[in-house]
Amino acid sequence: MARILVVDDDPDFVEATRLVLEKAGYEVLSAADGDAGLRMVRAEKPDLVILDVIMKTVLDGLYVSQELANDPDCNPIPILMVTSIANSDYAALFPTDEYIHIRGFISKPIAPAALLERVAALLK
Amino acid sequence: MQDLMSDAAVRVRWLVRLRWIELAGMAAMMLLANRVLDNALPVAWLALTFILIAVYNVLMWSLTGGRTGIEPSEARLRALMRLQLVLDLLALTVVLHFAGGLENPLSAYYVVLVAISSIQVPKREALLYALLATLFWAAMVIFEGWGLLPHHNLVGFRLPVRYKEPLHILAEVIVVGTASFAVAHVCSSVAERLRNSERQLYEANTACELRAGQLAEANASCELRAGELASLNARLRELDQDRAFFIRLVTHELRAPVAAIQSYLRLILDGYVPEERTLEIVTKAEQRARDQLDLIGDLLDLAHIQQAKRECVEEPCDILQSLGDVLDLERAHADSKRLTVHLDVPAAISRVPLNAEHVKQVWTNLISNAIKYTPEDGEITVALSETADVVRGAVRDTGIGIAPEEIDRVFESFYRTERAKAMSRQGTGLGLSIVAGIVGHYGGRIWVESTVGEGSTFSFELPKCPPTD
Repeated sequence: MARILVVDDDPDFVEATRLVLEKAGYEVLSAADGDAGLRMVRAEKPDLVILDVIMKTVLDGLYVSQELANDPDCNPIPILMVTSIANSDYAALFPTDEYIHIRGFISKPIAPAALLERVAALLK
Repeated sequence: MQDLMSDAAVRVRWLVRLRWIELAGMAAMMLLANRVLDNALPVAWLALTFILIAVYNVLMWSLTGGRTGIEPSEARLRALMRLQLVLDLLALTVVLHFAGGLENPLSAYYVVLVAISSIQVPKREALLYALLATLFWAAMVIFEGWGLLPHHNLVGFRLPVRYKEPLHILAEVIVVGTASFAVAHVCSSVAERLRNSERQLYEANTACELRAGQLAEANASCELRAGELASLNARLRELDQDRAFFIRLVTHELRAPVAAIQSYLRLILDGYVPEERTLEIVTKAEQRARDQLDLIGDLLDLAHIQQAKRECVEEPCDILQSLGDVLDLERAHADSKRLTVHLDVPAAISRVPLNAEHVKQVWTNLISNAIKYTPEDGEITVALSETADVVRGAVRDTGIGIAPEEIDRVFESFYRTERAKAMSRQGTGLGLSIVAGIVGHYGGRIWVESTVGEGSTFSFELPKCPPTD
C-alpha cells in the first residue's frame, strides 16, 4: 500500500489525517517541521507528501516544496499542500501552484472523503 | 557615401564611369589606327559618333543623379541601366561600322559589353543582350556585305573584298554570337552565385542582428523579471515582517485550533475513529478548545493595550501591591512544582502611572512563565528597585533558559522557543509580547538575559510618576 508523509507542526492535524488515511489502508509517516520533513522525504521516499504551508516560519512549507523540486530524486514525488488560508482573504498573498512545485492545495479543516479522493487521484 | 546609395545607383554610375574609359580608349585606338593606316578612317564620322556617345554619357550621368545628387527611384535606375546596355551595343556597332565593319578586330568588344551587362542583370536578360549583340553585329556586316550600308575599307589592313564573302560574314557572326552567348552564360552564372552568397551573408547577418536583438530583449526582460522577483521577494519579506502577526493570527493561529476540533469531530461522526480511541480524541479536541480560549484571552489583552491611552490612567499604580496580589494567585502553581520563590523588594516604592490591570498583567505573565519553564525544585526570585527616574522590576528563574539564537525573538507574537515547546505544549506565544507591549506603551523598556540550562532573567523599567507638589 502507498506510503504517505504528513508534514505539519500541528499534532492534532497529523493525528486526524493519520486516522483517515490509515482507515483507508495507507501507511502514514509524519514530520513536525520543514527540515524534519525534508530529511524524511529523502530517507523514506514516500509516494505522496501532504505538506502544511505555515509551520516554523510563514513560508516553511513553500521552502520544502522548492527544495524537493530541486532534488532530482524527490522531484517526481507529488505534493499536496495544506493550508488554512486557501479560502481566506490572505490567500492572494501566497503564490499559486502555477509557480510552485505542488500538485494541488487542500484546506483545513479537512473533509475525510475529499482528502481520500485527492490522495487516490494523485497516487494513480 | 557608397553605403547611402542603392545597389542600382552604384551599378549605373559605374557604367557611366566605365564608358568614359571605353570612349577614351576607343578614341585613342582609332587615332592610332588612323595614323598607322595612313588616314584610312572616316575621322569626321567617328568623331561625331564619339561626341554623341559623350553627350549620351553626360546625359546618363545627369539622369542618374550625378549632377543633383538626388538618387532616382530604383525602377528608374534599372530602366536607365537597361537602356545604357542596349545603347552601348548600338554605339559599338556604329563605331565599328565607321571603322571598317567586318575588317575591324574590335568586334571582340561585343563580348566585353555582353560580359559587363551579364554581371548586372539576371541570366535570361544577359542572354537577350548576347542575342542583341549578335543581331547588331550580324545586321551591320550583312548590310555592308549586301551593299545596303556603305563599307569603309581599312585600306592597307584588309583587302576590300573580304566583307562581301558570305562564308566570312557567317564565320564572323558565328564567332561573335557564340562568344557572346558563352560569356553571357558564364558571367551571369558567376554573378548570380556571387549575388546569392552576398544575399545569404546579408540574411545571415540580418538574422544574427535579429537574434542579437532578441537576446538583448530577452536579457532585458530577464533583468526586468529579476527586478520583479526581487521586488516581489522584498514585498514578501516585508509582509513576512510587518504583517506576519496578522497573517499568522487570521490564517493560522485562530483557525488552526478550530480546524483541529472540527476535524476530530468530523472523524468521529463519519466513523473514522475506532471506538476504543474516541475518548482520547475527544480529550484532544477539548484541549484545543481550551487553547483557543487562552488565545482569545491573550488577544483581547493585546487589543486592550493597543487601545489604552496613557492619559486615561486615573490613579497611579502601586507596583509592589500589584506584585503581592499576583504572587498570591500564582503561589499554588509554584508550590505544586516545589519551587522556592524569593522576594528582593523594598518596603515601599514610587508609584508608576500605569493602569493597574496592565501592571498585574506584566507580573502575571512574567511570573507564570518563570513557573512554567522552571523544572521542579527550582528557584524564582522577584526583585524590585528604583532610581531617580524609573522603577525596575526583574523576574529570575533557574529554568530551561533561552538559546542565544532565539533570545531576540522571544518578544515576537506567537514565537515560542524550541525548548519551551518541548517542555509544554500549552502556550499561545503571546504572553511576552503582551508584556513588551504594555511596557513599551508606557515608555518603559524590557530585556532578557539567559543561559541555556541555568535560567533566565526578565527585567523591565517603567517611568515613575512625575513628583507632585
